[in-house]
Amino acid sequence: MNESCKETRELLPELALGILGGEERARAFDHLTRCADCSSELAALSRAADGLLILAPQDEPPAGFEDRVLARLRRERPKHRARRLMTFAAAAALIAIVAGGAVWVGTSQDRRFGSYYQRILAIQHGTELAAAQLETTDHLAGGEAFTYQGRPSWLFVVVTAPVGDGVYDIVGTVHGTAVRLGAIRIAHGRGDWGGTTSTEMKSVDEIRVVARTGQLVLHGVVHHN
Amino acid sequence: MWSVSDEALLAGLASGESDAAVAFIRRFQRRVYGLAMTILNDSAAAEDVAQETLARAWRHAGAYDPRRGPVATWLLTIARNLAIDALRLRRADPVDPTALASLQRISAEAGPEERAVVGDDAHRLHEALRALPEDQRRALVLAAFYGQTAREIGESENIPLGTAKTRIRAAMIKLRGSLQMEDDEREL
Repeated sequence: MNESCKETRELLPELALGILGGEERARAFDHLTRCADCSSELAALSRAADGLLILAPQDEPPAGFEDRVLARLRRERPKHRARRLMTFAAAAALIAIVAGGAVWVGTSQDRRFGSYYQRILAIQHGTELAAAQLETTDHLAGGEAFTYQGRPSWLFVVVTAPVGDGVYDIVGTVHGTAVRLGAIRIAHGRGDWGGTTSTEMKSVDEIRVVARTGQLVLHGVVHHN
Repeated sequence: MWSVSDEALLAGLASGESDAAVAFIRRFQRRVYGLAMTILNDSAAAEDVAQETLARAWRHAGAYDPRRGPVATWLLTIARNLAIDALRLRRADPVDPTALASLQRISAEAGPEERAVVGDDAHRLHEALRALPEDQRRALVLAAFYGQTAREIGESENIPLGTAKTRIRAAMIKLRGSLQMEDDEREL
């Protein structure tokens, strides 16, 4: 165990409890991406912290609770499906634009593409569409992230990487501070996630995909305009 | 229906079976609502949190990974986070006097019957929690259930920040150790 491990171990109990903030949290994550021993220690502490919640006393909810929950699930079903479709539609449109842009750049159609890009941005009061190539810690290609600065701002992440099945956090680095932006489910090396965010996407320097143990699995620098 | 495992029930929920939704709500509602009540001490707010927790479980059932822990723990983590968000929105004063009362219930009520339902972790953690010195237990409960940071615990307990951090760390290391003992025994 080196000095960096010792310093991180001091922070892990608070990290496992979810009460560590800002700079210390970013510092801990930075070490965890490189240290399997500290990552497994965090997993053990998290198991203890989360396991505690079972000890809360059980209580009977107010009469009619079950019916109200079921009614709510019925109400939400169409909305939920529509939102997913919208996310995928937006992402498909976006990928078409980016792919199209890659072909157009450097041709006489640059100017036309520029005006087309501006019109697309204007649809959601946007100022910037940016992308990051995600790679594994072994520098293998692992997917892409697309960021949109607008009202609302949003993010879409596609993962194609040989990482374990599970749910991973999507974290953005804003001026050196880690900000959680969403969560992605990866199964059989594939996953995608998209959603709106209140974080300023033009300030996000890097996108990371992080295991719940804190271990970094993918990262990529966001190339801004 | 009650013999179905939590994992199978969740899988049924993910596939949209309405029977599974009813069974899932019945199985977990007392636990989810109980945790929300412990944190919020307000039945309307606790019901909001419990409803939202079950709705999220329904929406994200496909994202559950059994290797990361039991279904109940996954569900309660969602409920805890929602309840803490609600608490922060409504509370001007970070010191909640009901925390201490709830703390006594947490350490008094969970008993051996939990062992059959949620496995050995709960039993070990319960024993480890009871064995903690009072000041460490308080710091741990304020952090784990109420989301209080070390700084907030320092302020509410009127102790320096370093002392609050030491109490949290000491308590967590003992709890983690209690689970490791269990794993070691299993391997023997």
